[in-house]
Amino acid sequence: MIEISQVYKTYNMGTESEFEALKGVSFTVRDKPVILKGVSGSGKSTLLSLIAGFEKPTKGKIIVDDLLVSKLPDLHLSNYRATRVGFVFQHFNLIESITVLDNIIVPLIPIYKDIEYIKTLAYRAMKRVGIEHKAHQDTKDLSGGEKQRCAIARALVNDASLIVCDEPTANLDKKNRDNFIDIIGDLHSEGKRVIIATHDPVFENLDFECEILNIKDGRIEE
Amino acid sequence: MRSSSFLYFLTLMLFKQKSKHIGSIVISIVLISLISSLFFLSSSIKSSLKDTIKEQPDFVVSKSTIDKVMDSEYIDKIASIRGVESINARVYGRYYFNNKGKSALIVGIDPFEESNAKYLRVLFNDIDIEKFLSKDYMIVSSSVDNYLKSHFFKDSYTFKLPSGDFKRVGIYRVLPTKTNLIANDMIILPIDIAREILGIDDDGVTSISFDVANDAEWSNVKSLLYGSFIDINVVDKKEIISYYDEMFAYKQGLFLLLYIISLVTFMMILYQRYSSVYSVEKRDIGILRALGWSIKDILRLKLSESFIVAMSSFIIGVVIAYIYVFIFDAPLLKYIFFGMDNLSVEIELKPYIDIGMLVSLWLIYTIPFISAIIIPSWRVATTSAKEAMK
Repeated sequence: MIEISQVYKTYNMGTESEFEALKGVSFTVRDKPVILKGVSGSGKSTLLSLIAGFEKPTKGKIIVDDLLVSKLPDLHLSNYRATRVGFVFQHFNLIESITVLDNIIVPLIPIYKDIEYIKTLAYRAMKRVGIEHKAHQDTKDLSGGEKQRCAIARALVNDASLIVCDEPTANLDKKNRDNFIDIIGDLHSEGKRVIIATHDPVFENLDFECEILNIKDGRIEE
Repeated sequence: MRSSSFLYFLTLMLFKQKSKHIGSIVISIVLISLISSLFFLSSSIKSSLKDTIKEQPDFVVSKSTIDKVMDSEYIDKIASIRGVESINARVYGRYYFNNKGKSALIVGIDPFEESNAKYLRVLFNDIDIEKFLSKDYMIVSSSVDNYLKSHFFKDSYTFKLPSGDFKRVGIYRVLPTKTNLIANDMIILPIDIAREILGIDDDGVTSISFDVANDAEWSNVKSLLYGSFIDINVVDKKEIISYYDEMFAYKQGLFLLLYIISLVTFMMILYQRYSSVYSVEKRDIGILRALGWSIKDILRLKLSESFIVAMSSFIIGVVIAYIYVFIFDAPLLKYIFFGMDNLSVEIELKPYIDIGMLVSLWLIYTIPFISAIIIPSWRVATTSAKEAMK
């Protein structure tokens, strides 16, 4: 279970440019995938980055299973990101100068020593999203859809129980968008928790049941 | 065999981002090879000079007045001092060739005197001293030999004497190149011929050398000499060694200063580059952080990366310097130490590496180099992953 309780996030506190991105957000993620909807600047990405442990809330609690993520010290937070979270970024955030395979192994390097074992896991993840034939190609030479699949493979490689996606279909054509939704359906049926921030209407009519939350001006709308 | 995933990724980043490192490697190699060459050169010369000085007499007495010639009275008085041994009188002076103001140092010795004969035998195993004295012969340095040959004096040279007469002296042998460090422009002659060329009366000498076996007596002997003569200058071996030490420390200090100034400039550029300009670097660190790398993991990667770059630049720079100095005999650079005003210098530089100096250069280079990379990386790694990826 993922519990978000009275979470606030304020940037540039105490300065003229102080900005309150989240204003007491609370919700619980159980079995169903959660779709966070809202316009740009509503606080979706901030909420995802707090859940994924990229930054800490100004106030409030984020509990993922037994872990109080909002209070974890940096070293444990890194370990949390490495072992429990798979994140799919809107702009993919791949390391451009290296190959697909090498991008996918990145999250595993601090965890495992054996490079052959890591590569086996990476190939398994690539196979799952159908990108294994591009394993040795530099990511800068991939199409948008291929980059997206590479980013998804990277999010799946550590077998994380929580998959967080920020605007995952924003840069995809219809075919790749449908592929992505199929993968999300598979992950859901495997029992993984999925949180997606999007304003793509395609997520309103999915084949599987999901919870849709609207976020506006840093608050969840009832 | 289990291979390290960290090592794999480190190698990958080094090779895939080689264009990022190539500039710093090239500049580092140039700086290190230059400063190492200067230090190899000065250490080698200093070491060779010290070795040579060890073979020289403990004291040399010369006159401090305009008239440089001493008579036998000086020799007798010095010989009467307790502890003084192996006294050897020499004649030396500068002989100017007519062409272009070039000159040679004329050294007149008594080849039958024990220490001189021994020294000549060290230089030439097979020297026949009686043959050397049988005719008007001289032993010349390779630089003098080359100079004479270039002026068509192949086997002999005709000296112009102060009396206006001429004296033809044959070249008996050429000194080995290893002696060029102290004998680059030297002509060794039997003492009588040297007196004739320099216009010194019979029995006149210009320097008297001797040994004092007991080190503790050196200062006493010196005091006695200054007490006995008011017109002499006494130089002992320790003074010469400390003079060379000071001279080379001064030159090395200047080079080190230049090296540090260049390094500081380079490090500032590097720091600036890693701090602000290199946004891809910042983004990549942000991605690694977002994917679960801790600050320690990032610093380990950056430290290893910069250490490998620094180490390889240093090794390549030092190897280039070694080849340049000890295989090619440091063309151009050696004139910083020898000058080019008289006869050209042909020196065989003996390989000598001062480990302490190499370690100092390594530390002076590596610590700022690694810091210039690590500090900006650490600053990025400690910001939130979201911020770094922007």
